[in-house]
Amino acid sequence: MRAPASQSLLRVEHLGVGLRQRQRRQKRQHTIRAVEDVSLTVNAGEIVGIVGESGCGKSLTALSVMGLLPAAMELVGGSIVFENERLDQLRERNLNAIRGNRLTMIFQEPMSSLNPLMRIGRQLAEPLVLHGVSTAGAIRERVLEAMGKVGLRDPETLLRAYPHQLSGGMLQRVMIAAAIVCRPRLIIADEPTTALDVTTQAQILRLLRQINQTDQTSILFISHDLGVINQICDQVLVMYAGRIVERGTVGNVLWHPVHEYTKGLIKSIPTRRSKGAPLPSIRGRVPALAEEKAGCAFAPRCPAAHSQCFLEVPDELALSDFHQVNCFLADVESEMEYVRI
Amino acid sequence: MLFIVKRLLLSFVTLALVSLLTFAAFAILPGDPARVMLGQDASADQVAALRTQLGLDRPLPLRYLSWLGGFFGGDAGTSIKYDLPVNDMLADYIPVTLALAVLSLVLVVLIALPTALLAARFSGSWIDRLVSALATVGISTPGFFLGVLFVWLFGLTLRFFIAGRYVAWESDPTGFFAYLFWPALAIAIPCAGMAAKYLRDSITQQLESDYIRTAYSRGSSRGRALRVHALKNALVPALTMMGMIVADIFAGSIVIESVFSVPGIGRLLVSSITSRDFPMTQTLVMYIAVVVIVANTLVDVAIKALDSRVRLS
Ligand SMILES: Nc1ncnc2c1ncn2[C@@H]1O[C@H](COP(=O)(O)OP(=O)(O)OP(=O)(O)O)[C@@H](O)[C@H]1O
Ligand SMILES: [Mg+2]
Repeated sequence: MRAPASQSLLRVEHLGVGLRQRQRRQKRQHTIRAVEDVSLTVNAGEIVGIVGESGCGKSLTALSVMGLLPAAMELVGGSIVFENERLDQLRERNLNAIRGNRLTMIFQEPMSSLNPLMRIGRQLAEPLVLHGVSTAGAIRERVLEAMGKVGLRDPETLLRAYPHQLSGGMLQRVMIAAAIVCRPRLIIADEPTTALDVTTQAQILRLLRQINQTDQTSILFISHDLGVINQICDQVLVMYAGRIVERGTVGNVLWHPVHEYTKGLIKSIPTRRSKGAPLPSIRGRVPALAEEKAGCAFAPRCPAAHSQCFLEVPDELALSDFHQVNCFLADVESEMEYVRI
Repeated sequence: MLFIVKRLLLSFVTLALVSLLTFAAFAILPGDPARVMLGQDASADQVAALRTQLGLDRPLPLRYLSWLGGFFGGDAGTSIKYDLPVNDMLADYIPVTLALAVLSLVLVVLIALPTALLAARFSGSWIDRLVSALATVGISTPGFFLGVLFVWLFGLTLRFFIAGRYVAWESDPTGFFAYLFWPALAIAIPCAGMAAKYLRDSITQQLESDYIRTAYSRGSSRGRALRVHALKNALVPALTMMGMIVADIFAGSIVIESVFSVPGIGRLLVSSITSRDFPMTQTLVMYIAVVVIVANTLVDVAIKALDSRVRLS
């Protein structure tokens, strides 16, 4: 049965991303996968988070949706549906009509993500120019409106400035302004605050939340910080070594984690009470791309792993409508306990 | 402002060094201009008489200093070989070489820019490999060989131009440029190969950067991202090379002018070195150095105009 079109804005199913094969003769089974069997849904007006350690495939998942995978990577199966269109099957020209218009992206590094030789004004106007707003007056009005929304003051000076004249926080605001100037339905934000200092981080998060609430813009928010996810997301997906290991509403996943990896991540969030104490992190490290991964990829680091974990990849288990986990150790009953509470 | 003062000072030092080097070269070179002019049959007395007449009996350092004083005073002395004021002669020869150099430079840009753009746009494809192969051939072919080849192929065989019959600007401006086209092309091809390769690499490198990904994320097509975003960023380092190319073009014209019988300063330089014409050689070298310095200054100003982050220093 298909969900009504109005509900799911973005639906990714069984997405796989692998290293591009140089030789045709090599068989598909031997493709090195960086992302495997990732499914996710973003509904209208929702903020969905993806969390996981560095290198677990968060950025590649996001870039797949945008059709902007690095040259060394390619899609290997799966489907990406945005507003009832198969993005993974669109021609580049049709994709260009969507990118920057209804679907936009904000990157981690605001400093290098803007053209150093182009004035801020032109860079803010670019999405409008590319998506059919042609009169100078209309462009100006929309740019000023977007700048107002992201709290950029003194627009006249700013429009004429070059990126190197602005701070990181300002540049990220500019990036966000360019991302919302065409009033998109979905913004993909890939660690938008990681390169910024703490105060600026909080401001940018507040700004994104505000954009989500006033314009009903959905956000796919990527972070390695569960604390940040907790602040702004409705749903969260926990990724490990290219796969989703746990997913659900933020309340379920963060307050009643089932997967040992999620529990480890939560323990690693520094709290006010734990200040000064050594950070309890998960022992071991993320496996490298090329490493053979039989069974659950987390098993070697899992404190509760048993023999089955090393042999088979666990399927997704629905603990409730709002909480799914990929782990042999979880059972439905344990979840039911707190659901009944 | 300070930039201009510094730049002028630096240019002055460069010019002084260039003139000293030429002087040193002359001090080392064996050969006597009077002997060259009179030929091997002349008697020692005749040679001595001409030497006195030309002022060659004074020691070279003295002649250098008097020439140096004259050059900066606007009188570069008298040519030993032609017995005419050097500056008057150069007034006829310099415009020809400048026209040849400008034509060569235009050809370099006209060849290098589109090929580099094409190669970068389709980087990794057969087009890219073809451009790269052609550029390598262009770079490694000496300009004089191209000159001789052109004279034989386009001049003597295909008769696109009459080899050796230079057309003066005064008699036929169109014919002048039509004739200069071939030597200019011979000079331009090695430089264009270098420029195309460098610009292509510069553009492909820019195409990998984050702001290009941002451009795509906003709906920009590949062609537009290249033209609007990558090109300008790639031109900044490529422009620096333009300064070097101007020097290369002058070096190339010295030989090519002889091959095509173009009466420019290149040919004049060769003949004045052969006849040990000290004032003429010194002056020519100085003027070429001035042109190269001016070209490099213009390049720096152009870079500054493109990239406001650049500090001129
Ligand atoms: N261009 C590339 N070529 C080869 N491998 C790549 C490339 N880009 C990413 N990878 C690999 O794919 C895996 C997933 O990378 P990805 O960038 O999605 O991680 P991430 O979860 O976003 O991490 P981070 O928090 O560091 O941004 C990593 O192991 C990475 O090394
Ligand atoms: Mg990333």
